[in-house]
Amino acid sequence: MGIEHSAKKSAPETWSEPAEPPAPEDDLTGLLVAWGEGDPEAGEELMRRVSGRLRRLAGRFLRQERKDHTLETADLINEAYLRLIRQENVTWESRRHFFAMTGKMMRRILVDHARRRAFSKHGGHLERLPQEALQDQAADAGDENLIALGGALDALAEESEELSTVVELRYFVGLTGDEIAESLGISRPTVQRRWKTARAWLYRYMKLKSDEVGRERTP
Amino acid sequence: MRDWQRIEEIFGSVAELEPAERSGRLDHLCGSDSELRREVESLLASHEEASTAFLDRPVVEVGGRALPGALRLGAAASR
Repeated sequence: MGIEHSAKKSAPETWSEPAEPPAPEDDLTGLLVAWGEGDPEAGEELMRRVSGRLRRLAGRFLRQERKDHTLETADLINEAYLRLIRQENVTWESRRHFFAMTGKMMRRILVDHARRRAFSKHGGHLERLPQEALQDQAADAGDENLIALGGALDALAEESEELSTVVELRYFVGLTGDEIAESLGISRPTVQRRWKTARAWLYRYMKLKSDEVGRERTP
Repeated sequence: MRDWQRIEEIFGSVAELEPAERSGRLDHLCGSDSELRREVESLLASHEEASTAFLDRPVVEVGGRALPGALRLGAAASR
């Protein structure tokens, strides 16, 4: 995504000092409104900005991982994005699309990272201290699972974007059921039903794949 | 392409029932659509089999209310 340039290059790595204008949510709201009114460029610009922010935020988290740091999406979600829910001039369709895209982006960022880390580790980079390597077995299992989940979600999205979106918002963005209902403009019971269905579907798919791998390893 | 809305509705209502009550409800909801019934039954089986920890904790934290957790599929699958 060749869009993170200019001012963003010198941006500090902490989210608390963004090199962006203040009150970015207003900015995003304007773009959302324009997008909802049929301006495709506003939609592209919106996604670029969101993607850039998500990446910086995720990057900060991922560089500090294994030290019990967590990805604090609170700043991002609560202060900027959930406000959009209360904007009356943004259509439900664009809101729903926006949140679905955010979930998908977040999923991609985290799964891609797990993939790169698994690759660089198994590709021979010895960049960890021995005591950290001990904890890596758990991290490895986490990466493998995350990569497998990414593949399963791609397959689920082919079946139903509505199901995959709920998983992305809950698992990769960390929204609660109520927040997902609000973001997508659907009822809480619908969120619950979709979540359960998607979870069972993903379990079935991942189990099947892992059984296949097991059979290949022990013919 | 499957009718996921229908599957999701039937699955959602049947999953809440005691296992003994499910068959009658599936007869009623799926009628003669055996493909639909097979899919819902397959999902119900996965629903029962998956550990409660599967996808339980978001991989991210929002405002301190959740902790990053592993997927736990491995643990569930090896039961």
